[in-house]
Amino acid sequence: MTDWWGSTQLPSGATRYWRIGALSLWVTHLEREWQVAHCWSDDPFDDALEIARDDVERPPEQPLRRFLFTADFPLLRLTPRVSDRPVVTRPELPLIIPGGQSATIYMASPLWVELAVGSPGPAGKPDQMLPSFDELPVWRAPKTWFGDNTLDGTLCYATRTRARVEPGDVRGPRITTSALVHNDHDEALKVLRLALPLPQMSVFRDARGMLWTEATTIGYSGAATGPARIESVPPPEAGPVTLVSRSRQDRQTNVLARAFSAVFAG
Amino acid sequence: MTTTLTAAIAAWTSVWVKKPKGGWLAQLLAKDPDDIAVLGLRLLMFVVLGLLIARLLGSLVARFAIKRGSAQGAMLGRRFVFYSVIALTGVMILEELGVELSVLLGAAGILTVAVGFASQTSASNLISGLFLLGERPFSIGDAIRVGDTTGEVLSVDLLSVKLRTFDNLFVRVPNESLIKSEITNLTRNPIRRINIDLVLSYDEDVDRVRALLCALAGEDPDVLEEPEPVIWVDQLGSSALHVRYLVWASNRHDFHGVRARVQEKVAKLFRQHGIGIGYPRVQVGATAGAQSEAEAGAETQAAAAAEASAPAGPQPGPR
Repeated sequence: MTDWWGSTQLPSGATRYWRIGALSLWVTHLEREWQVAHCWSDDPFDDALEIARDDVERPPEQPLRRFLFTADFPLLRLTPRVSDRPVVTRPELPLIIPGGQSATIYMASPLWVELAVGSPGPAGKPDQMLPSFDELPVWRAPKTWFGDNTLDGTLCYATRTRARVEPGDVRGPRITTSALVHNDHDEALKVLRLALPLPQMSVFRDARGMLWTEATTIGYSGAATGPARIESVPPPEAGPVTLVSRSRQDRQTNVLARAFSAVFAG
Repeated sequence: MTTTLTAAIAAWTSVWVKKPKGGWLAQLLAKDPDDIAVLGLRLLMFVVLGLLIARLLGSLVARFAIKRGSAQGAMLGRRFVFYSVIALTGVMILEELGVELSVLLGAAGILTVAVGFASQTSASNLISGLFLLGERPFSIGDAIRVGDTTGEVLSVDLLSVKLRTFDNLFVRVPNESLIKSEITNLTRNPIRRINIDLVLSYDEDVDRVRALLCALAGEDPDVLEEPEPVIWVDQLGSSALHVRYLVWASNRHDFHGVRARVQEKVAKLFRQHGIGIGYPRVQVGATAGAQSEAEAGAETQAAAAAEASAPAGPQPGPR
């Protein structure tokens, strides 16, 4: 699979188009100015991918945002990022893990696209990029509330997943997170939803071009709060990986514990 | 270089300090100045320095508090420090003027009784303000509703709370009335419910409406998936079915915009799917006798109309 992210040179006056899943993105380069227009299709499972096309004109009715810079930068970089809020994933069908058993669940989450401009570095040196000037979600995921009541909790994004037990191919521009759930309790564990603290996770690319976050491990021993841990790398099934983008937030154990506190609710 | 500096200092002291009668600065710093001008200057110095230190310390405390807490804490800290330093300055000025504070405090006790009667409202506001500061039902920046006034809290002072209404009016609410009345904090909780009351015709299929409304909630990314939308029949009205459509949204990001959008979408949905709105209906029944009278009346009217339209002919007789 070809990578849709990375750097591209865009001459002044040119417009380039990307279709990343549900997101259609037009970027125009003018003298010391970059213009961004975007829209989303209605299908959350849209897996279309069109990379850096010059022949797709921007619809005139599309709203435009203008970003002005002190100097002219010819280089544009697109970077996949994790979402800016935790993501609550609900399996389409409830999963039941009998007592004493463990299972690895693979979940797909929507991505964000970060835009940055810069200048090409000298031969053999990395490009000199400015901090990101804009970012857009590939799919505007609906919001949801994750907490014990309507006073204490976190505003998250909601996604539905088939909660596969095999890594498989994740269609479209999505990011896969694996959760290894240990049920150390005698009774069966019914998993209705899983909260993933994605802002604390990084994005990795495997050899096939699929995107992964670090693996997570959750233990359940009958208490409401299961000890949760974010590993430092994606699961072994991903194979050799390279880091694409770093996490948005530092890992905080208390936030993590809260995010996972009602994992098994329902 | 050193010699030049020493000479300059000597010259300065000779001019400013070693004046006749001990010099201005010496007089100013003396324990008991004997010149009224010196005393005045000294008091002015106290006032200026007191104000300066009060502002400086207040700003420092506010800067420290805003890093650790809320804007309200910063404002309270700054005011507390400012007024404490001002009070201390006042005490020092009184001492400088030779006023004995013990006598003054005794007089203040008697004065307090007199003033207390005269300023009951202010005292009540002051004490209410202290309670409000302790209880903290709202903070600066919160949107609250007090009586008929809804607005954003600009400041919480000892005597009153200042609000900015959403149509940009400045409202001062006395603390006493705040303590007595019901306060609704509209922005305290992170999520909030949107309540939409619908009136449906009895001919309408409620299950169909429920399915359509559920789908509508699922399509809007700003309507929360959880807590789940609720659609229930609230009341069986005399002429229509009263249904409540309850969905949740974030209270931090454009709540009113989401509510307006959802209501607009509901209206469009009803129009698109031809969902009947319940209107008040009145069924008029008629008995046989009444009917015959009505028919007779109708016949008379028809006859009169025929006569009026006839171009010629004998005039009708008197009725």
